[in-house]
Amino acid sequence: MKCMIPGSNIKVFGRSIHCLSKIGEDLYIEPLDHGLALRTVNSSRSAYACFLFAPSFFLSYINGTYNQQETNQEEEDSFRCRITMKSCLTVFKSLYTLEKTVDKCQVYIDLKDCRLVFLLHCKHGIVKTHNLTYQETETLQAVFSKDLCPNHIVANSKALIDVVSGFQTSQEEITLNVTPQQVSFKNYVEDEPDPNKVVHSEMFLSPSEFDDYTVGIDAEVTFCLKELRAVLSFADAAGLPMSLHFESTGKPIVFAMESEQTLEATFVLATLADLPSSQSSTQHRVSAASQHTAVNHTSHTHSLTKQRKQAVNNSSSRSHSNQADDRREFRKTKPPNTKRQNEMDFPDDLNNQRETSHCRQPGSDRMKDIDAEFEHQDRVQARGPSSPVIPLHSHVHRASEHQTRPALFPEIKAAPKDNDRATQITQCVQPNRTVLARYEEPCDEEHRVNAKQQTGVVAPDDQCVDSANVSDSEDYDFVPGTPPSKRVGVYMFKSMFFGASQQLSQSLETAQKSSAVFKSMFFGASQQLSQSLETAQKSSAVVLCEDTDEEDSD
Amino acid sequence: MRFRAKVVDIGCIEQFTRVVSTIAKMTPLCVLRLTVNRMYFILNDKVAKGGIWCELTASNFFDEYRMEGLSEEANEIYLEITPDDIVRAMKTAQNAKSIKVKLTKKFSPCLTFDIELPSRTGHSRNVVHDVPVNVIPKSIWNEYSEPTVPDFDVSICMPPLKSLRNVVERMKNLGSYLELSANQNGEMRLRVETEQVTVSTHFKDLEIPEWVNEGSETQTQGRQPDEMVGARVDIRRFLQFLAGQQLNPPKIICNIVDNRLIHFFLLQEDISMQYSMPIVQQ
Repeated sequence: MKCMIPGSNIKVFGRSIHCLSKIGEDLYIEPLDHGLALRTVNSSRSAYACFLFAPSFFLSYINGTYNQQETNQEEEDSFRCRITMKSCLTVFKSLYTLEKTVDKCQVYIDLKDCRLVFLLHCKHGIVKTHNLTYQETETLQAVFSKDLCPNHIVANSKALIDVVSGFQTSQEEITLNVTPQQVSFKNYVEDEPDPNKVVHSEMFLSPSEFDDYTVGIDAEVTFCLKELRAVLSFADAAGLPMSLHFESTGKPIVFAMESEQTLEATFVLATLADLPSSQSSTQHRVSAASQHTAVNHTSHTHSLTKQRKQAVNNSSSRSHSNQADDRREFRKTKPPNTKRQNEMDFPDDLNNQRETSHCRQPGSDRMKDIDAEFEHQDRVQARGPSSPVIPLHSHVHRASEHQTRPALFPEIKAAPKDNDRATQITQCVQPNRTVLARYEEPCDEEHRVNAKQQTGVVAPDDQCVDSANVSDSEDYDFVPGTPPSKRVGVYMFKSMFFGASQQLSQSLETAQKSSAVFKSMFFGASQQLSQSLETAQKSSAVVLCEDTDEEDSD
Repeated sequence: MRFRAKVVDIGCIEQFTRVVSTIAKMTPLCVLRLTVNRMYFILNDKVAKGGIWCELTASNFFDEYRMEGLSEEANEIYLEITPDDIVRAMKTAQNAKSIKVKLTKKFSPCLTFDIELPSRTGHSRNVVHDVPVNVIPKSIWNEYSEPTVPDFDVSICMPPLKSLRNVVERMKNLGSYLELSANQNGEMRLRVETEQVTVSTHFKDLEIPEWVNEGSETQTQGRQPDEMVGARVDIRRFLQFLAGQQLNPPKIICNIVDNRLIHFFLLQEDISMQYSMPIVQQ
């Protein structure tokens, strides 16, 4: 990866770093064919942010091998790294100075010394070099779909700043309430020791204040204000309108902005799901965004699929199934990398969009696609009632590529380039582990434990083999434009699961074909379904402020 | 009990915000007393926090002011409020078109601030703040009656608050108590005393207000004009009072009863505020 940021864009780039730094502590950098992705997730994993700078943002943008001597080409192709936000902030500390002095900024990876290099070419021939250490990492990807959300609002960032500034800085969450007639923002007070002793504030806005206002279902979503402030600080400085996509309580809210072909920013914030029983001060928060769980409900798959399909057909994507209480809860402060977490049900929208080369699919088309998919799944399932084959959108890959059997794990293990990778690969073999271990390595211990605990619900191997066979005879090519040769490998599952970054699979051209991929794939798919139902489980909206205003003489 | 008021004028909104934030700087909790044509902010704690008596004429602030008290005979409302909450509510109203204040019963008794804000697109926006309050029963109303003004030994106008504040801020680093004394010759002295050092600052040629009250006249006349009369106060509390002043009244009168009382009287056209600072005995 090598790119050159022009002086005129350095401020925007710096701002994005500042914005990300207000959300997470690590910066995930991933060069993609269609641009450079900067991502982060907050410590409680309730907020995810992604900036994508298109190649046109840069003076030059080269993704992939630039260091030809490097033998292990595919490793470099798939380069993704994580740096600490702090180190990156030092490079872009003063935006004002940067703007005044920097002519251009070169960013590249020094593979020899394992450094991410920021080369600031300043005025008067001064060159400032920042060599940052990095850690290789997996793709960070929240699974969400903004285009399936029935509620879509486009707002001027100034209007939202007015709203947000009306709340106290100590306010942690706000609740957004929409109806076709009215929008309101109110402070979330339920987690106060005594909600009746604090000021309840609510701001009402008319829908006509927004550039676009589509409300399919009335919704009340509660999300963190801190991250929203970070988002708005960027949106305001960039002067970009912001679009909000959201659905209902407990489903993530997506803030997105886009600047003509150069920059796209997406923020996914978890929303609070109020449990009916949580009247006490202890709040169980169910995070919807970027929380994933390894749950395998193979036996439920068929019915779930149907429900899912119905839900999609209803175009509200809401399932009212009251599945056994699998709801994942966690306290916001708790590191969420336990198996008791929630899972997003949507295929990753972001990367799907990528694969169709920036073309925004109209919502209706997408719906059709998904319907088609589900029909397809039904057909596949008809072959074996317990077959866990539920290829989802981005998770479906050409089955004909996978002719070999899972006996190849040893070879896969031989392939890793460092310990880090090795860990990940072993996790891939065991789907549960993989799912859990998507994130940072320090949590691996925990993941492994979780994986062990969960082996009881993992689909038996023979089932997977079955499904692989089934898959072999079917054509699963739902992902256009991806050369078959790039779709093989143990990493695929991860990439698929997180929304299939193409880069990821590209990197694995040499990785062994393995039906383990399918196992994980199916597993992932069924998991997503079951999760969709979990998250769809109703969550009562707490009426914070009922106006029983008898005293009011009006 | 009913209460409803409306402000339209932005100047009145700002002034009201200043009054409440001045109060909020001095006490976290106070009593709001509403009568037919006046509004009072009252703090009645002579020992620890001191006493506040702030009186506003409703018609000077509110374009519309209607209240019905507890009953015909007791046509008043006493509410315990957190002034800071009201300040926060008012802060969102800095460019408001109008504010309606009313007493409502929601999750608890509330003072509801319904603020109408202008928006870019010309549509009005509404912000509603429900500030929880406690209604004070009639049985303890008499605890919040107007303090009787005692006979002062010295009555003197304060020097400009800003310079006073600069001095006190530095004295704060030396000790925790400050002796404030003055005489009838227009001199005021601030003194901080520690084992190592004694620092005093003298202000001269301060104005002596004319009191028509006969009682205090006799008292002050009984003393020599240059005799210093003073009392000791907590320096941080004094600084809090100085720093929290947002009203900038033209005159602040300081009344001192030797070793017993320091009483500040802030006079403005539409507001009068009294604050008696707790005394720390030596």
